[in-house]
Amino acid sequence: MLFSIFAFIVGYLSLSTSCPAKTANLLSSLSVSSFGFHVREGRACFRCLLFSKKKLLAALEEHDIAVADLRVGGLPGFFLRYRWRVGAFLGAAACVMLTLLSQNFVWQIEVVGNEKVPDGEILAALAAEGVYEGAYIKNIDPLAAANRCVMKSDLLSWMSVNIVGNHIEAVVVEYSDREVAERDKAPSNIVAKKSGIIRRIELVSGVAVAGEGRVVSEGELLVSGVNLLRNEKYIYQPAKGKVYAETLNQAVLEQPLLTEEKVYTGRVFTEKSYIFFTKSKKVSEYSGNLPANCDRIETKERVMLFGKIPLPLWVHKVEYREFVYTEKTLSEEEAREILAARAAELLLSGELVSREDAYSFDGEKVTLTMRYRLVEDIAKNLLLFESP
Amino acid sequence: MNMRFAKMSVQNESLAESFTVSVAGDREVSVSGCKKVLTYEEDLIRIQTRECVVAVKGEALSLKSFHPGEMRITGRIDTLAIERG
Repeated sequence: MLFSIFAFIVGYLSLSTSCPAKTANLLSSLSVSSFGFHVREGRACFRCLLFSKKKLLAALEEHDIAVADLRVGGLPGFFLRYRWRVGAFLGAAACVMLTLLSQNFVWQIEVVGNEKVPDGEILAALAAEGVYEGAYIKNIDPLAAANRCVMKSDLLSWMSVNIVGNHIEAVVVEYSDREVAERDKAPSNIVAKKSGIIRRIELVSGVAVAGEGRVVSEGELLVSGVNLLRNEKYIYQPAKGKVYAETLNQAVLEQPLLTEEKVYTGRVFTEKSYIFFTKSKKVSEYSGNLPANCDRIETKERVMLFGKIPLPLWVHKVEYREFVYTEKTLSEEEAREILAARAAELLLSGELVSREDAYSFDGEKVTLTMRYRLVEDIAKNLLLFESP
Repeated sequence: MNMRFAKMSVQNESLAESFTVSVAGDREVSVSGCKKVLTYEEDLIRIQTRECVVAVKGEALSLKSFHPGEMRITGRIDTLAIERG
């Protein structure tokens, strides 16, 4: 096996001769290395290393042994056969060069360990420190970049940038809620941002002044940041927590019947570009004037080799979809449905206790008057030394 | 390492002794003490040794290695004969 690889690399001569016995004896006497020696149709077929070619052919001619099917094999044979195809060799050399050169650049960055902070935010922070796809790896100081990112971010407590070949893995640890609270050291109270009946208090720090079942009004103190100690000394701390109260609310929503509706005309203008590492190349661009009303939809899709291997190549597409506003007259039923959807959005901020809806219609618009009771967080932080 | 190629070298004749034939199953025959190949065909190989001729008959015979003084024949071997004279 090893010898086959060696013979392929240095090149071999493949030939057939008459008089197999005479050929075998000649090879033995010349000390020529041969392999694959066999007889076929009365002729000896064998191969020998290329550097024995001259000696062997001269000896075969001297002994009147006819030679046929002479062929050079292995790498030298390959180069000899395609020596005029300069483009192929240049292409192969360019491919090897590109592969070697691209090893010095970052191909992919992966963020691991984040739950609240989005990937894009962390990648943007890293890019500001010189860590981005396409960056020259030798210019990256992973420790310094990680430390600077953590110092600049309020939400990250630790980061590590690990470089493995062309791949960078950024491992992050985010602050938990308690740690975020601890970072805010300014003494504060919690006051009510609306009136209501307190249903439950989730206290993190401070002294609760109001208890469950108590009716509080807007601005009233709920949790105090001032703590009286046994020795009649006071300490000031930030009051933290949530106070859930049942509040009474009223919302008046109106929906006119005559409304405008956005309708797409079907005309789409597309611009496409390819991004290789960080270099962008536009392949198509719309050169005319864009319509006054159009939605801009931007997509960036990474090219995957065989659907699995990510390449440092993205297809960036921007579509401008034209639309017009057309007048539409709603029916009363449709207007009610729209109002109901808007009302449902208002109720998302807490737990609904009860609700009363009253619709009215004056011929031009539908009005929804909604009275509802909601259990929601009414806590609002107020610094101790700041007037409400 | 299994030597797949043959490298010829001159052997001192004074060291040559009587020939020996080794047979491994019906696929391989080794002959030592040989001098040269007399006949080489697909189904017959005759090797000249010091005292006589060793003839190997079979199918798809090939000389896997042929050092001076030793040769190895592979293939499907049917008959092994020693010819005197």
